Amino acid sequence: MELTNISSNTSPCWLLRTESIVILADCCLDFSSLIYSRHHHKTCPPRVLVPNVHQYVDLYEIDVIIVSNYHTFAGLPWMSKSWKEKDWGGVIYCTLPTLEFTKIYVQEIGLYMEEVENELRNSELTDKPLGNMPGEKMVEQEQVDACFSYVKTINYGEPIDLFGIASVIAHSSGFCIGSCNWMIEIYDKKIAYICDHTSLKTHASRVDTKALKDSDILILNGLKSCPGFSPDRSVNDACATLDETVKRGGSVMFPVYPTGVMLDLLEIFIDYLAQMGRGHIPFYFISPIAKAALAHAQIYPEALSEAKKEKASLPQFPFDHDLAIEKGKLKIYEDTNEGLSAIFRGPAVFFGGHPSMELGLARKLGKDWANNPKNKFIVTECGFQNNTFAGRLNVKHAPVDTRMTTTGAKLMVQELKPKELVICQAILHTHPKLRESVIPPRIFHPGKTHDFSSFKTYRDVKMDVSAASKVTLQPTPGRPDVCVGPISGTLNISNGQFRFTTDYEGTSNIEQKLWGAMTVEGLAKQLRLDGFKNIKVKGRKIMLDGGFVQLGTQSTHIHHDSNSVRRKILLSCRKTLTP
Amino acid sequence: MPDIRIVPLGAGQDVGRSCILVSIGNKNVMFDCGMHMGYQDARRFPDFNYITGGDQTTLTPHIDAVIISHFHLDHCGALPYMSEQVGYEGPIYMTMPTKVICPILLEDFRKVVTKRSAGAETNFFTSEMIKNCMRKVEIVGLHQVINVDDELSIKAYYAGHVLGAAMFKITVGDESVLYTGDFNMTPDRHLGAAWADRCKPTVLISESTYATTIRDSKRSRERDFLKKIHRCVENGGKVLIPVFALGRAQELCILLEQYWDRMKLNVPVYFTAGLAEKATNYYKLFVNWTNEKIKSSFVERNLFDFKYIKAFQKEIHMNQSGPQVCFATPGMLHAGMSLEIFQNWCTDEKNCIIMPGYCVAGTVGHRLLHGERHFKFNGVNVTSRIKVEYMSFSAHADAKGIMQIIKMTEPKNVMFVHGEAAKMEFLAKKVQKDMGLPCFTPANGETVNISCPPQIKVKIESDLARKIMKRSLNRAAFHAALVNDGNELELLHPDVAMKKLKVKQHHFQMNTSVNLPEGNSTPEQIIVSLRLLIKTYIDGSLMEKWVPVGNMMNSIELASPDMSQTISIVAEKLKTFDTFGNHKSERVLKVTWPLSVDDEIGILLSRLSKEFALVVPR
Ligand SMILES: [Zn+2]
Repeated sequence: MELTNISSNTSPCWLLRTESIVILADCCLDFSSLIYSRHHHKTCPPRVLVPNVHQYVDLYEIDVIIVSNYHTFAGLPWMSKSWKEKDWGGVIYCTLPTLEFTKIYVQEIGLYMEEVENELRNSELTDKPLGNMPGEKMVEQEQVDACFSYVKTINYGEPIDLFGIASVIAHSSGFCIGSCNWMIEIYDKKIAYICDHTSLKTHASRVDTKALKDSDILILNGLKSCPGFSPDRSVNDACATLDETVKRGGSVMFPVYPTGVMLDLLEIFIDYLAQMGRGHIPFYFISPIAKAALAHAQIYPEALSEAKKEKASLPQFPFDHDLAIEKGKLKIYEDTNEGLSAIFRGPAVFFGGHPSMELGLARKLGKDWANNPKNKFIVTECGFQNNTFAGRLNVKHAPVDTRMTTTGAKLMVQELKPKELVICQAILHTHPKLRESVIPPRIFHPGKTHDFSSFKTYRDVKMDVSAASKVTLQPTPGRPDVCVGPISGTLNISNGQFRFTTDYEGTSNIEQKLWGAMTVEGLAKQLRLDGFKNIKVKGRKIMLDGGFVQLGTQSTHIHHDSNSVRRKILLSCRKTLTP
Repeated sequence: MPDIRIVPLGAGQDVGRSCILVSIGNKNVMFDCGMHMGYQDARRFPDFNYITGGDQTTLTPHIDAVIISHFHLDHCGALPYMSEQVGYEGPIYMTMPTKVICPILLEDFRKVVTKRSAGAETNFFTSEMIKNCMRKVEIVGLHQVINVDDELSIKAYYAGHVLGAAMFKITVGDESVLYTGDFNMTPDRHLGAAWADRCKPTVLISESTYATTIRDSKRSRERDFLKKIHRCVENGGKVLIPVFALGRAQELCILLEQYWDRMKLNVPVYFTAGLAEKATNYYKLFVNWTNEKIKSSFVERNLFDFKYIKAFQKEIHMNQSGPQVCFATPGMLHAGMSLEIFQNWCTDEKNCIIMPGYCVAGTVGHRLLHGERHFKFNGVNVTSRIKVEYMSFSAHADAKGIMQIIKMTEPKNVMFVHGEAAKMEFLAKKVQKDMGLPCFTPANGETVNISCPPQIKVKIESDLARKIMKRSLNRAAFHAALVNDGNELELLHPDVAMKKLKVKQHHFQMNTSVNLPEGNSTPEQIIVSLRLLIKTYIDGSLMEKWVPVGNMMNSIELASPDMSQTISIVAEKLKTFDTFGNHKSERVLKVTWPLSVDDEIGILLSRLSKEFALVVPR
């Protein structure tokens, strides 16, 4: 069993392969090219980086893709083109909320990138042709939809059997609505796959760590990317900056992803300003997908924390957003063209994309507010600390990253007791102490493959006694204690259990091999038993109506012009052959 | 092999107080714990003495898990009585919508009973007991496998019927029992259709409310319903529709909303307040339990935000003159506002009552449907003149739907509960006859024993299983070798078996010939034109990857992609004699292929040769 690390940085992308199955786990988008693009090539349209999965495997050969959350799904639409060409028969497994939030997330990025590209093309800056940036253009919506059509949604704790070779099962990772870790079993190996795991209290349902215990291999991904900041302190910092700014008559913008931690922040900041006696300051969530993002947050009560579940059972909406909208405290707009210029004057709080500040509302306000030190950006998403915007005076960096710290990860490894620990090399930049884990980690550099020895496994096939009685077993000459016989029928799998049924029909177009020898007399007798009339034996030739059978020592020729009669003769031969 | 024992404590040849005990080996599960609407005495609850044997012990040592299929009271109404009064400390499983809605209905039920009995019911369960009971509930997600202990696991499937309704499968070792609860195989305006995988349970326990009905098409039923309402209000009458607060009510509300919108009607429509608004919120929160159409549009427009339907205010609307339509709870007219409205409206023949669901024996609804017109309310005799209509809108599977779930899940045995004895007997006979499955219809307290025949276990290497399954997700045909080494049975690829056991392959060559009509063209000429035909034919067919080899003038040879097999077509001219002893030259195509390739390929080529015979050059 081979494991390959395709992740280019800390965003996970792993390939697991055996001779019988190929599983891809996660595929993120990388936005670092966005920032690069802005500062080095002003006339280049925005590009994103997508893992080069095709360098490691023919995309068509992937059998199964498992996706942990909406971040780790977003790189997949780039693959659907090559799947479509060859009619890919594989499946993408993720939870329903992951699918729905991915749709929202990818749509937003797509619209944002298109907007900037159009703007660049129309601006007078570019009398020369637009430059080319490394990275990928956004894929067409059609291709995105094609990608989603391969998805089969699953629930936490729903075991998925993969062709009898492997199985996967998702368990809550506590990170966002519908996010999960995976337990993968291939051959004799149990692989726990952890991605964006948090044991802190969030809006999502509690993490299920117990289910990941006692694995052979633990692949650990998605640790905190800004270790210096505790979520609580960042929230407090953000609150203080927010209050200070609006007090001085300025506005604040939070450049955020359309779901995840922003769902909490929206509640927290609205509450906080109200507490500070500034409940009159309006909140705006401005994004083409704002409405859908908030609506979807409300409809997965099963995937939410106990407190949110409790609210749902009242029944109230789990998040207070709808209440805030009802009270007029929160307003939602698709974009800034909806006659919004008026609101940009007074102090207000804006939520919208994109955390890189290179796209969407953040990009627009970045220009508008460049010369207005009164207004502030508070960056709560992580992974953008190197953004040069962050150095500017009106940008406050307060990342709220709920994921595991080095200490948390080490404790968890201790608790889960895997036989081997696997990490991606890039994770050591931010978590160097991970080297000192109780189980010394096997470090995967980008592109590295390691072959884990694994034993092939056996599966049980259940068979009714009646089905088994149709098979004739005969002793073999070399080993009379061992019997063998041909068996034909249908192998069924349901809920991970194989069953065998003997329906010979339908097996005719499958390759068939038989063994042993038979005598002319033996076959003639069997043919008569099986209802053939006018059997005549001439040497090694058996004549029958409309055809004949010619026997050799290790070969037999069946001559007949009727397909069904030929098959009937063959069945008689199967009964006659002895090893 | 563990044997299976099933005994209904309720819903055996009956509708009401569903409670079915299932034992697989030494694991005991209770499916549903309902109440009977038709009784006001001890018979309204299942007889739990059956389980304890009349001992003063609790149920805890006797039951490993209790599973509630959905929130209807005939499936969960006895739950607090069972867990708090009889006593049960083990786990209770239900879906999240059931968990949140069930206590509300229980509380509602409790109030109706204690109010009706005016204090005579001193031993009825309290609000506190409902709360304590609900604390024992664990939420089950659809398709999530929950291991109750090392041996017993449960899995839920979508059942339609009402919000959050589920079918449950329990598994112990090789044996499993799938209980449908109430289910619906046809999607409607607000819910989807029941679905389960081909899980081949040892026993399928199905409800059979509509065992002998094949309901007329849904559309015409709905049209009928709307027509009846429209006609009544046109004549200035009032329409009373008794419903349960959650369930069919939402379906009918959506139906009426759309009709009112389309017909631009302004006759007022009401829904008795209380539960109704709450109910609507549940449908908004659990939109993922509704159907695809509602899910896909919920961001823009929520179908449960009604435009025409307003809250019913008793003081204003009860005796308001002029036509109106009122949805009122509860559905069987056994108590509450629907009964009160009925008392007020039933003497006017202009008015109309539409009973959209099943009514349990003993309720006013049931009596009304059975032709009774004289009632005594609070000591006053009343003669009802209201027009009575019955329209089945309960979302149960009909006979067709029940057969469908049997086909879908492929059980080894079938059992019917939750229906009338005669009707389920009829369907049981049909299942036995048409599908050859043993089918049981036990009465309450009657035990059904199902012995599970031993299964033969054969091992197979995972890789071989994968090769056989290729990319088919659930079934594939194959030929293999079955080997018994004295200890165990194993399925092997023939090549592996032959090598391991030092047995030689026996080759089979399949031959078929096609006679060509008389003519003068030579075998070589025939082959040239056949080659052309084959070339155009094999593209995109089974033969696509086969490559022509050899350059014989009178034959075509094709080799398999790995060059290990060949198929040949030989053209021959045979000199034969006709019956008069004259020379006759016959032309034939002989098609030959080995058995170890796809037999269909040989058949394809011989068919092709036959087609060729029609166009062969003279
Ligand atoms: Zn029901």
